[in-house]
Amino acid sequence: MIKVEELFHSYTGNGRYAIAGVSFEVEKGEIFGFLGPNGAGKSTTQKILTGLLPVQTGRVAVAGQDMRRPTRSLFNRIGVSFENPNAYRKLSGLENLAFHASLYDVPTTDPMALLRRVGLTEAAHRRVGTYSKGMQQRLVFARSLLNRPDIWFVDEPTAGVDPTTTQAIKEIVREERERGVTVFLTTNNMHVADALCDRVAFLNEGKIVTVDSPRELKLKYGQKVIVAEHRSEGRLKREVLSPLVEGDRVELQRLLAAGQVETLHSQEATLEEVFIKLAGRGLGG
Amino acid sequence: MLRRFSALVARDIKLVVRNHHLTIVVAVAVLYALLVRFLIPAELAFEPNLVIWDRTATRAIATWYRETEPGRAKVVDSEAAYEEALREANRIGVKVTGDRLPEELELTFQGFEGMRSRRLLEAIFSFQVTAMLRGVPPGFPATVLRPGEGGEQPALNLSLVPVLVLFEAAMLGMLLSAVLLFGEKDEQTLRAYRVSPGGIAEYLLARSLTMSILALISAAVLTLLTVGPAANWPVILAVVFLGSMTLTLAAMVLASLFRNVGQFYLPYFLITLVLMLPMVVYFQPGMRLPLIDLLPTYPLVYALREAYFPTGSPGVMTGAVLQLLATLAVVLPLAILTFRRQLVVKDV
Repeated sequence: MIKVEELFHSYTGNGRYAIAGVSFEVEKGEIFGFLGPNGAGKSTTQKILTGLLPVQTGRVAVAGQDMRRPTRSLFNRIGVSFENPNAYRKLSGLENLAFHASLYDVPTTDPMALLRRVGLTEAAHRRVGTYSKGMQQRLVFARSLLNRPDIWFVDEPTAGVDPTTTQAIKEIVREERERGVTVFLTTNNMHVADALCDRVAFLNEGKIVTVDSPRELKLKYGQKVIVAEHRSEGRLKREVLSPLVEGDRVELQRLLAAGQVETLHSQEATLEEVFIKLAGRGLGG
Repeated sequence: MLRRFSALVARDIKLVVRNHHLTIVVAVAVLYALLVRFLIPAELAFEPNLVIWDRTATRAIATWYRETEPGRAKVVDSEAAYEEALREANRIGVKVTGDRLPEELELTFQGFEGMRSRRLLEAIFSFQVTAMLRGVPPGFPATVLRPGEGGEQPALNLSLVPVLVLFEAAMLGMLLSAVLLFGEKDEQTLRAYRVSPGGIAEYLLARSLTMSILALISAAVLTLLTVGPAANWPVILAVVFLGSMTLTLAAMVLASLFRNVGQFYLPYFLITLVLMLPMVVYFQPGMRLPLIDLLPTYPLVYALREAYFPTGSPGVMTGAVLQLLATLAVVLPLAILTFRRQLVVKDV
């Protein structure tokens, strides 16, 4: 659904690139996470993919359309949820959605149903200027689903929202994937990416460091050991055991059989740790 | 397409109302109407307020003014009295010298009088002196007004109406449309619009139409409160509509070049000054400025004047409508190109 080849973009035109040689593909129905710290080039890439910035060098195709010349039909097929809430503050939440719904040439979802889905029913008739940032974020998130997009670009959907709403948003993303929607998720929140994405691309200083599934990355860059805490002779003990070593496997079976194990943890890496290993810096920086 | 366009217009109308732009426009129209009706006089009376110091032996001019036009002039007999009288503003001195009859005439002005007024007075006194030299009593040249030609001249206060309609309907509309655009830039709502199927041409035309509706309301309020209901409404509304469409698009082009309203003000002010130049010609018909008739405000103000105060030249109105349509045909693609370049290529 999305194909990017050797994409370069410079804001200054003096040889300094915000993104340099980025290539990746996103399959239909996949949740593809685009991870990287602030300034890594995530937003620039998303802006090019959604037509907000022109393609300078490289090839970008979204839903089979060359993004050098995107047509109106493409915008009927994509949805974009922005990181910064950008709704008309003088219009109500419902008016904002109704206005945007009328821009599409394809059947759209009932705005009120969408507001209900993101928990804004009560505030539907209030002007957006009176909304909290989290409410505005939810409104913009809902707006991006108006045209039932085939390809959904979601930028930091959980930034500034409470844990309950974060959970609700994650659930909606999963539901859309079930519907067959391709999701391009831009975030620097590794927990969200880990929980949602089929594959992630790590972006650092304008370049893709790696692309793989979160599971593979965590296994590949984590330690293949298990930490077992158990009680023995009245004292709490901690043992690091490798499932690849025969002796450790026997010891683990013995502990489990004796019922002495209190906690058992595999030691795969977190996405944050993988990123630090690959990029030499954290996602938050 | 029509559904999208209607939605854009409906959104703009809501924004215009909720940002109090409609209130501002109507309030300014009412204020202008009050100025026209109650503060600006219908006629500016030109009373020379002459000070005459006739130093000739016969004192013919002084005598004539004292006897026949006592209200028009103050006659003095000494230099001190003459100088004292001239200290008052609005006084014009007339010093007549000669033996028996006037031989020399010296006119003293305060400095703010127009050249036309000066030449007129010089001509009147030359006429009077010449009459006296011929042995005829001084008097004023005969004046014939021909109201049938060129139509009836409007009262001074009402003659301002076309200018005020233009200023409010078009110029204020330019500013308000730019303010709306900067509001959208600030809210980043234009980005949300750009990832929808909505096009730039629809966006610009909807905004222009909204501002033109505002301009029509403003023109209607001002016209009803000043000239009254008996006006050439079709022409007034057509000219205001086309003028507002053109100038709003021009304002949108200009506003698209800047990131915020602070950067926009100075260029807007300069362009407004240029666009207001036809008003100078309107009040000083003798003045001729090169290329002024290419400005969209030029046909606007003259077509409005013809619509409010007909002089039997309907061609002015037809010409204005055609010129505004031609300007619109140039400005619209220019606006679309500039907008696309600024918003898509530069993401301003």
